[in-house]
Amino acid sequence: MRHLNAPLCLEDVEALHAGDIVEISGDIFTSRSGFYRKLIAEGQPFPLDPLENNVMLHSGPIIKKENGWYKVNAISITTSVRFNKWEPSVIERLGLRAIIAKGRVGRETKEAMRRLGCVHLCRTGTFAGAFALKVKEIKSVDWLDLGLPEALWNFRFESFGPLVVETDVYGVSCYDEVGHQISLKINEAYRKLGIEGFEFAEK
Amino acid sequence: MFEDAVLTERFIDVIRRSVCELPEDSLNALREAHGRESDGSIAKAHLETNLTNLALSTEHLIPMCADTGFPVFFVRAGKDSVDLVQISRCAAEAVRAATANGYIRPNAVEPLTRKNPGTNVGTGSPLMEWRVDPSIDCCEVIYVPKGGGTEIFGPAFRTILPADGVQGLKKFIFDTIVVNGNRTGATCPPNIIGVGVGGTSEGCMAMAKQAACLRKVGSRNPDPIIRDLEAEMLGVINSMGIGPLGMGGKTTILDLHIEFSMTHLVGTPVAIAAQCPAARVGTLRLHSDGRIEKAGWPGWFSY
Repeated sequence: MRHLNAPLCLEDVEALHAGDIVEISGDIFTSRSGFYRKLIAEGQPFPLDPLENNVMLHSGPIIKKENGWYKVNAISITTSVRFNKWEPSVIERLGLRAIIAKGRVGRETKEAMRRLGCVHLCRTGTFAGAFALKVKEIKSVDWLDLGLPEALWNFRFESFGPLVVETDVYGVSCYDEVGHQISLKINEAYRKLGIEGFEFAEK
Repeated sequence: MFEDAVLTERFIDVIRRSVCELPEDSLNALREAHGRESDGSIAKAHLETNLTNLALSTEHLIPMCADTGFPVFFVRAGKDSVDLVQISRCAAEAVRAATANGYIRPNAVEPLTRKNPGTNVGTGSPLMEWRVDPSIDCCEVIYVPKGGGTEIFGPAFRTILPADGVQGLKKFIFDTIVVNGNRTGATCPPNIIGVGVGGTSEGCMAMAKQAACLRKVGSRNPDPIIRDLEAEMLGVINSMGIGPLGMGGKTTILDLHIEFSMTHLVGTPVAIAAQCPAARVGTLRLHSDGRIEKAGWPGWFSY
């Protein structure tokens, strides 16, 4: 497993290929729908230093207020494709090198990632809650008016992962090959099930 | 028979633990799936993280998934009388308290305005499903926090005609999961699939949901035709290589459960529901002598 340190440089992400398994340490900030509304629709300035913060996590964590500061109770990791409308302009404006999320990215985002040098990293497994234990410090929080799960959290992670490189800077997704293999097997599966050529009586 | 405060406290405990601990059957199924994948594969990495993070969640009482589900109670009332109105009242109170204490996320919102009361309690929430079962004495209360990914991307419904027969059933199940299914991990595979066959349209979907959430992984329907169909569909779907999180591998579904009931002669409704590997369920048995017993698995199905 390759270990990465945030912030990432172009060489770091150029060395990654779809299907690689990595973990990452350093400062990572969170974003959900409210983040895009503030940054894009309202045109607010990004509250962090984009040179120091170029790794973004699609997350609405469960946060609890404790002793005058905050504690992460559970990490959630959410699907990227629903932010496709805004993602390319955010990658460009903030100079993002990695987005950590789940699922795949939209076509426009994939193209922006290829052009600008950014990778899409997916969490392994389903049970992301306990990744909260990898948060060593909550460095800052902005836009608290969005509520605790949607606020912009800047976490210092230690060995966050394992993560899978889902889309690399060469435009390759690890879903592409799987999808292709499935298409090749469908007729054989229909044959096995005795439903080759079957059509419903009423469509 | 029960004090409101006592019953509510036990429900809160079931809710809290259910989101941090998996029942043995799902856990074992994940371990077996992990064992089947080849070393160094992405599939193995996915399942490895599932097992590692689940152990940490259970140890530290961290919700295994920050989506702590939509609150659903299944109540199976037996011969001895218990106060079902009290169960309903305490269930809602427990959901409210578990949310206020931060054990579960406020997930229940109004459907059109998307307004979130922040309590998980409102019209139809928690959802209460009632059933009378004269074969038991006690009353079984089952909590299922139903995750959002499989609720959005998992369900499907269609009516098949007598002319479509078993072929139509197979085609609908296969196409729903493999052909039309979201292949990029939106339902967080490996899933548990429930299929309802027959009944009325709403009863059919309820059967599918119960088959996905309340039957043990590895259980088979006692009806010989249905049992063989379950095994056949499970084998063929897993042979497609969709794999954990849709990134390739041997296990796409942990199991496939089919339930059926009598239906109208004109056609057969078929419903499909999916459960994610966070197949969370917590069970209490309430006895008329005042005992409240925690059970490892619901007895909703006898198999």
